[in-house]
Amino acid sequence: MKCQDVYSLVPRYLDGELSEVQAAPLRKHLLECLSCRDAASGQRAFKRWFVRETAAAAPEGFAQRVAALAVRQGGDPAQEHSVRPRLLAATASGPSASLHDLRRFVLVLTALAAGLLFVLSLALRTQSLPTTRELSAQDLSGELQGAFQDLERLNAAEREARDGAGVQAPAPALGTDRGAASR
Amino acid sequence: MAVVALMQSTPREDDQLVDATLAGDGGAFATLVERYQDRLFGLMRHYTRNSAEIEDLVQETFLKAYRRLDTFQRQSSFSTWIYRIAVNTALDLLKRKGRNPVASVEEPEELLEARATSTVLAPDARLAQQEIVRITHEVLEQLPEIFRTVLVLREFEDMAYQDMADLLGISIGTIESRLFRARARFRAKLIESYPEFAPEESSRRPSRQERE
Repeated sequence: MKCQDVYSLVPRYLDGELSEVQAAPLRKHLLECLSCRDAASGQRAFKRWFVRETAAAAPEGFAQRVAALAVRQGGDPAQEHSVRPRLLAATASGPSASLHDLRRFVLVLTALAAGLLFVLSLALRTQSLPTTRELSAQDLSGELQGAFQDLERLNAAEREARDGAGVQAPAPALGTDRGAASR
Repeated sequence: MAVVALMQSTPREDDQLVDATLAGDGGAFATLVERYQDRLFGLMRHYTRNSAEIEDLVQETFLKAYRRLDTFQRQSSFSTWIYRIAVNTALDLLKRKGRNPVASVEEPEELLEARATSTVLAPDARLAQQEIVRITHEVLEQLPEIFRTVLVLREFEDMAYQDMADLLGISIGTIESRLFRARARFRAKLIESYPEFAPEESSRRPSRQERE
């Protein structure tokens, strides 16, 4: 047996996968070859990292509980989800679970939005149409407001002039009228 | 004597219990659960340290087994079958928790070769058993799941290559090479986290005392 063969056989040997016929020449070689023996003992030592912990034990009554749960669920897949183990269900953030949640959220949101729209449309309908207040020019500011005020002043002046004695000096803005008349 | 009786009768009894369960005998299924529960609790400890999670994983395994019992073909033993469900259930949990079992498996072979030849010191004499368990778990958690699983099944569950091949649905050759790579990775990760376990020649700061 060559050292190269030993290299690949040792793991199988240590894992108990070699038959006695295969193991005998290997053992013989290990006795004779120091470097292979070193390599093999290194691999054996490595296994000591895998010590068994104290035996695990299921909690009291576990088997009865699980069997009862299994029988209750039976083969009915519809029930599968309702009796899912608590923690797995809680930690299930997998694609199907989150997708399901998202779909439900969007549905609820859509329903709420639709309801809100309906109420709003009703409210708008019953409310009277835009009234004078909304359409009045009160909000108009600046020039337009000034122009109205000017016009009012002119009207007042004209009235005054007409009511007063004769045809004294007319208001300045009526100049156009005067011009038109003189033409 | 009881042990001998159990060992002699176990395979047939498992099959009989399966038959009885399929015939509607809930008590038979409870007996099957009882027979495998402790081993599965032990197995799940290698995938999570959270005891509530462990219990849920084992429960989920048995519930799945019950639902699929009619698909159990007697070519492999019930033991291999239930272990397969258990390992898949554990891997599902890790996936849900955001660990991809297949991720980072691919690695340049020369790197693996270099790691495979590296050795680590045995943990004995310097560490208490609890400390060894803690370190080993810490290192195992860093391995891709397919490597963790073969190491767990081989080293802790003491499974034969053939049983592992049946369980994982891969060839014995693949089991062997996966184990080889898993051990190499384990050594590399161990030395990465705990350089003091590297033998002198591959350690950066060799310590004579530590080789004792």
